[in-house]
Amino acid sequence: MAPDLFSGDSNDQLAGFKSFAPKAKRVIYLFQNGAPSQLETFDYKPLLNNMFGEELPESIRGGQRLTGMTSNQEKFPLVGSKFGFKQHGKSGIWISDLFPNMAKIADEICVIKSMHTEAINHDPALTFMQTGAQQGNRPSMGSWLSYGLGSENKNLPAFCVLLSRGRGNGQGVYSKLWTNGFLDSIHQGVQFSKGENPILYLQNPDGVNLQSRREMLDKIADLNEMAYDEFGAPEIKTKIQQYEMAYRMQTAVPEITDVSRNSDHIIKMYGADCLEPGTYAANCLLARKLSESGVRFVQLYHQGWDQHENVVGEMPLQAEDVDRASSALVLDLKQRGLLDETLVIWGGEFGRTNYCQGKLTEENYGRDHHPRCFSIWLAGGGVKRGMTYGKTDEFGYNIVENPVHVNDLHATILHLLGIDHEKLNYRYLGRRFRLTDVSGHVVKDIIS
Amino acid sequence: MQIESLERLLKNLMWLFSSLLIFMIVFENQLVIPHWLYPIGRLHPMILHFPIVLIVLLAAWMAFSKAKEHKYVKVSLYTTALVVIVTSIMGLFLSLEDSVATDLMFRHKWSALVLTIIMVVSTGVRSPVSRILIVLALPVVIVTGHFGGSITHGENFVFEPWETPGNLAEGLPIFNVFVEPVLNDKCTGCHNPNKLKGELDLTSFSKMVEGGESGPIWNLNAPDSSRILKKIRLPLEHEDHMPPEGKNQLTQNEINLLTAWINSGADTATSIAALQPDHALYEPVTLLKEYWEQNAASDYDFEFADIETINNLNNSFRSVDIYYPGAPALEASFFVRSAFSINALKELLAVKEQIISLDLGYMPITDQDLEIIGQFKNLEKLNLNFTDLRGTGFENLLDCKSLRSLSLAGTGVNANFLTDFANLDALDVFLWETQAQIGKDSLPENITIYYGYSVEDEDPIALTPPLLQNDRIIGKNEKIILEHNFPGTEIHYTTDNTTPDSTSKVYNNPIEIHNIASIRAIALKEGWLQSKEVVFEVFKAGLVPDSLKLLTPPDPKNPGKLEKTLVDFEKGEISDFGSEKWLGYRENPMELWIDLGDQHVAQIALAYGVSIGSYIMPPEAVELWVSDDNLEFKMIERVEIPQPDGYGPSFESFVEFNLKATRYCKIKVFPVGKLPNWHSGKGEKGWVFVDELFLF
Repeated sequence: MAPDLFSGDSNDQLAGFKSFAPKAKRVIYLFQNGAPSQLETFDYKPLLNNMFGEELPESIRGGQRLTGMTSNQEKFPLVGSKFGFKQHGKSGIWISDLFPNMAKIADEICVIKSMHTEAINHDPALTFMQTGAQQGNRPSMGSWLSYGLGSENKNLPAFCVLLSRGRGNGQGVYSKLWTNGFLDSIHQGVQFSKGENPILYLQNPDGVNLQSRREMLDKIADLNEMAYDEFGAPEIKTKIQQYEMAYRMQTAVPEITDVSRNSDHIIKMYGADCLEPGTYAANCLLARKLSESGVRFVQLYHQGWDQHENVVGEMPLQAEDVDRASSALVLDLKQRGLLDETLVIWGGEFGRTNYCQGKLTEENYGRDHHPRCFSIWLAGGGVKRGMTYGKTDEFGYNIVENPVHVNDLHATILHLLGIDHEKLNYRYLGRRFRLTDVSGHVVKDIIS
Repeated sequence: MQIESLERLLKNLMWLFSSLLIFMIVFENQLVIPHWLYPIGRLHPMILHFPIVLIVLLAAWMAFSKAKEHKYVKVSLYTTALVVIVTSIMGLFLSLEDSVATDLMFRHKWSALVLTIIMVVSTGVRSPVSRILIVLALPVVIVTGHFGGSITHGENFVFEPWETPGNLAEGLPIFNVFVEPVLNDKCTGCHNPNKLKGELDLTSFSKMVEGGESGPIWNLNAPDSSRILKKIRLPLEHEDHMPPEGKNQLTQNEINLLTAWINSGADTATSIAALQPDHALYEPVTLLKEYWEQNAASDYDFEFADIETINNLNNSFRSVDIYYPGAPALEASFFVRSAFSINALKELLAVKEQIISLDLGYMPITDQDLEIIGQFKNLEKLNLNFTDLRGTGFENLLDCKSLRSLSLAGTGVNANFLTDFANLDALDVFLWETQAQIGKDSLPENITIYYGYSVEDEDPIALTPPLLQNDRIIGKNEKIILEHNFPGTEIHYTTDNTTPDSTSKVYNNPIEIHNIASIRAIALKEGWLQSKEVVFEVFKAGLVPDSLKLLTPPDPKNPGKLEKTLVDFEKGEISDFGSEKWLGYRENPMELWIDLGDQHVAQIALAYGVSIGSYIMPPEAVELWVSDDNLEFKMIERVEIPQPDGYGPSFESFVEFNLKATRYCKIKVFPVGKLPNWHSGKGEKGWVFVDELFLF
């Protein structure tokens, strides 16, 4: 607590915003964009199958506001998962049959069934999940970490963003989700592209070698320094740093994306689609490589989880895209001895309704947005293994045990990284801002 | 200036400031010092050195001077008295600003007043009396100064080191080591000078003494009724409970500590050394100390590294991080194999005591280098994944007694060396992608091996389908190139619309096509299941009509680039129907007028896309009308397009017509009038999306 009182020496200035011993050093966030249904993934509710087609009791709904898409609906017929559920591993975690590979890592993960959020539409909910505010002008979680902990590998951005698109009904992602907000722009997320070269314009053009590039950057830096002396704009300094990092990335990135590092085993683990740039599996593989190389925060977005209709048709496609690669990522980190220091998060921005949106048939149904409960899982990084936390009611509509608010999740993530979420703040527009703003409690029960 | 006039001036000033001092003492309780005058008071601790020095010098002079009445004595007396008065006034200013009415303050103030009176009187009396008074003033100024010093530095500041043993920690006040950290951890998030919740600031002792908006936080006469203790003891649900529900709560032992501390007088002086087992604070302090020790990640018994050294070790290819503030432990990682040299590792030996985690993954580390690594005696975690290790030299690591995680994935090591590590507490060893194997019997019990994923673990899985390298519309002489980015994969394909299998043609060379081709392909590889079939509809760039015009407007939401969309040689993507490459129709059929001019066109094809979930269906029917004079058109063919009978993935297709010599054509495309019953939009109109027209 105050050991430096005894030692008389301390080296706090290098430790950034760390307050205590961290469990995790890095985060990989597998964001399932569009909000996968908790009722077809981890929250098994047989009552809904028994009550097929029956009306959602008003006592359960409890005045919950609805989206414009179902607020005109006359009936709210309950519908259970068309897909089976089984318990897996020693921990007996319930996992839908759509995710046979995640089932194999049941004893590695901690499923939180009691997540809840404040927003009911994608954009605000997504923004809330990523920045701790719904409006979209605050720094993203990755930027906060870059600011709070700094970069481990100075040849790579501290915050990388990888996008992929599934085959289900999709929702957009926007660069505001990986914005640095009011923080210095060096903390902004760097979006990787889907092509063979994940970072564009990294190769020198023909006729330019490393030496002449170096000379050019030195001259530009001189000019920028002059501009800084004249105007004093801090962004100029940032620009110089960014050029320097890009220069260093010219050596570091090819080593990381070197395909000869992909053994047959790795391709089999992640699934053959990991060879196709821009797929979720390829992004999971790249995320592991970046994280292994010291990138603090790798943010994936996989689009296509917005099943307002056709849950039966689209969920298996979405699940197929992510199931194998998500569990491969966890196992891959584990077999390298890195899972204990890397936190992996899998989940969307809210849940889906337990009643059908649109027409309910024996064969198919849709589900609308539901902010009151949803399920995510965490693995590694000091989180307890093989655990289910929180509980929803029999209808899968309300939380009855251990609710975890988005701010609480943020506080917990920061805690795992050794940061007191109340202390990681930045003064802007006359007040201090935090990722958790004015709330958030650490969910200590899930920390090992 | 004459000495007399200087005397007069000093005398007058002295009486002036004396009156001010008297006034201030009489009306002390009514006085409020304006904010901008605070600096006067705050200079008191500096100015006070002048009267002390003057009195000491004066006393020495008076005691040892032989002259009866020196001509400068009066001036000296007046000057000293004036300085004493001014210093007193300044001290009063300071006390009024920071109104901590303690015993010490009371003693300091009145001894200062006595001193002032002595000095003023000494100016008005004759020599022997004034001499006695001045010598008398000496002890008074020492006492006064001591009281003042005790206020700023704490009581017993001077002699405390004599009273407590030499160990610095033992001499530290319990308040600083135990009470303050608890308050900082649980209370000062809100009770700090910035937030000032309840107008209470718990960040310093003097502010604690001031209390908050409802008064003092403790009552030393009846400690149990202290406000702070009452609030922290209230049940969590109670509105007034502190810290508020949802905030980090005090533990029972922390509550005990605060209670015992207030009970024993809430002082900042009691040091750790004073704690005897019968002291009320003994138990809570001991428990708290134990708790902290257990909750520290581990006990580090090594020194802090020099901050300058750490800074110098950090560069782009080597990072040295502090594990957490207050711990001497460091973590180091190396990056970029091509930039690595063994010297970079040797330089790190400057902090070899402090490194607890070393990441050398992918670096060209060889067996000899283990000798260097073994010098990092306090290593807990060592990552040597994908280094060039061959499996010798591990005896160098035997001195790393704290090692608990050793990553050796992707190296040439064997597992035999592990038997030497039986005396470690517990060790995780990662041997994925190595040939290393060790029998259960020979593996020491303290070691856990992780072999990771191996291919034998499960049934084979499917390959991904082949990829098309060309654009969807190819040049006149262009051939089709298929590829697969998994080396060693075989591509089989058909061009006649039959399902490909392992007996179909193997792709070796680019494929030549005529106008429109449907390439159906699969990928095969030993040890893998065959990929799903993939279908590429590829079009050769055809003729361009002399003129074309949409007779009915597309839906305003998806107007594309109007007729140009159809002849821009760009296929739309089925993942992006919103793009300009698509034309959308829903309310009315699409009617397209084409003037072929003199060109001889034998084949017309119209390409469309389908996304059932988004209501985008194949057209219900497509009609071709022709005319030679552009006046009378005749329908020569109507194609009814089969509709899907359920949901499925999005796809592309086309409809084609053969044409005899003609100049003008019209193509009519009819969207689905009513979506089928199984569709969630049943009964509503369907959309039609077309992207390109081909003339051959």
